[in-house]
Amino acid sequence: MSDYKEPADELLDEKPISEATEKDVKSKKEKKENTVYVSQMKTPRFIVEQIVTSGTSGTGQTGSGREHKFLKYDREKSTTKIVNKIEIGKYTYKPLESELIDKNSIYLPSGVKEYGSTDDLLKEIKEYLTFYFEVSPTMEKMLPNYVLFTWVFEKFPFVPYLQFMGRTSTGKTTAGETVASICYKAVDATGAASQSAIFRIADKWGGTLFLDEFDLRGITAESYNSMVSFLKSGVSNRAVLRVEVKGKNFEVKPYMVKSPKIFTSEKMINDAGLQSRTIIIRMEKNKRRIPLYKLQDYWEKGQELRNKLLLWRLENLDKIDLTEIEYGFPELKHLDGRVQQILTPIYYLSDKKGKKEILEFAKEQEEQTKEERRNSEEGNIFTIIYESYEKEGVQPPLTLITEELNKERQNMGYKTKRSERKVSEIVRKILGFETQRLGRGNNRVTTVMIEKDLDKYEELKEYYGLPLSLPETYVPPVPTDPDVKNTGTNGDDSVKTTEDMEEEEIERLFDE
Amino acid sequence: MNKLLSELKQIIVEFDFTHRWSEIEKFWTLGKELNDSKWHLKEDDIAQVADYMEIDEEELWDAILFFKKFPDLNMLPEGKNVSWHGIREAYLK
Repeated sequence: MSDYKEPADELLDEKPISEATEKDVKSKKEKKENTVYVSQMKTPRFIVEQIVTSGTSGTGQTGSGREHKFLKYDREKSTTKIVNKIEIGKYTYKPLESELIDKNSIYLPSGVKEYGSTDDLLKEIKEYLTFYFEVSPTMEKMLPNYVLFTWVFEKFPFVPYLQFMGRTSTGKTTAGETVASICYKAVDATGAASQSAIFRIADKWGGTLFLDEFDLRGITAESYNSMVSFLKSGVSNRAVLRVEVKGKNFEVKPYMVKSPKIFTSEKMINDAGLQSRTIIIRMEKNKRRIPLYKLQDYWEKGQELRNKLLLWRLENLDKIDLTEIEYGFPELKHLDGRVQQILTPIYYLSDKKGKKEILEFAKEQEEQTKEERRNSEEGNIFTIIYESYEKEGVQPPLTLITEELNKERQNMGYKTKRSERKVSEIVRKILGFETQRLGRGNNRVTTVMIEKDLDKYEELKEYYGLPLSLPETYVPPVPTDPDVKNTGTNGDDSVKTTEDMEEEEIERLFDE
Repeated sequence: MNKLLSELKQIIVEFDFTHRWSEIEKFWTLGKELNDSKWHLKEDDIAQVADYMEIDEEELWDAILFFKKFPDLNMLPEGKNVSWHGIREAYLK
């Protein structure tokens, strides 16, 4: 039984400090210690969401004067009420106060508004989005469902990301901003000065993060790994652990950063794992006339949609039941597991027509995922193994694989070579093949023993999407893997390993 | 050498004392200002002040309480032989 009680008086105590007694001040201090600031909470009876009243959130004009309140939804009666605080036991819960709101860096609803049916709402979202930017017809249908998904994302164990990718002047920032503006508690974290700031924002608000011009290249290896770790952890219910300095002590603090993320970039994210968790929308130059400026209509319509989406969330959150799709949708079963994970939430919320579009998109997404896998170092090595084995019909020697790999790397402009020992490590530990020295006397060569595990070979073919439906001249790029270091020069003294390099030399490699 | 050490020790003790007492005076004066009716301060204002001044809010409440308890600094039972941390522990919890 909840010990929640209705706050008897919603107004704060009006007694001025100068008239307060010692007892008053002590009691206020104690209240402060038992005050918890949150942006949302759920009890068995209520769902509580933070709203901003007295002015539109994100009006394009900065300034304070907006009031932070809670919208309380009664799950039994399906009614809503605006309150200043919630008292449960000895604790008082108040809305988060943050400059993010005053400075239009977070988009919150200002209340609720009737939306008609889910279909009506989706149509309105689509109209709003397509007014400000142009995408393919498939994406026009998918994006409204993604927006809807962000308002109930916590019900799904896995959260896909959205990436708008394209050259300059293709509208990717406008597209990302417009979509983000109507997502659940969207925070524009573009200006965050440090990764710590992004971690804290994600943990504190638990809403959608928008990162403009997010490009993992051109930053140091350490912050690259840290950011990738943050983004990968943010797709599921896993905490990211960070060491923080508190006074003279170091503290390990967990951050729950699972949330939808929308980012824009000119290039593909240089991480196969992260890329496979992202729905990529390729932006092209606009073919029709698009508004150059976001005027008052944009802010007002955005606010109206957020209010409708909030009501939709409150009325539908409890209806989402994933038990019927515990093993996924049967019609998506033929797809790669990762693709299923990222598309199932949006598929679940779509109507019949939308589902059909998603299935078509899924095929493209699957091919993209497999392409990214092939572009990884181990993917590239397996492609060489596959091509050699299919062409020659014999198990390939490591020397040949290493040679081919280094030739490709040289063609791509990479300065470092991979040693045979490193390649052998990848073949054994990542691809999972045994290697064996075959032959006699001086002709003994280390060979990849594909035929000892043909099931594994077939499984990897499927995993990397081989054979390709691409021309034979196609050479996938070999990415720079910051975790892979050379362990030997393979007897070639002119080859420098990363162990031999200065730190600046290694960091310059990430600029390739 | 002993004489030098003795001199140095005295200097350190004097400055340590001055530093401690200055801190106490600082919070007492802050408390006095915050309790002044001319500012018409309410509960919620303290959080804003703390945020703006980048001072811990709890410490600001302690400053307010400190002034209410000791409107005259000479009322402190230990006299000047005390620290701000000691005052918070002994009187403001």
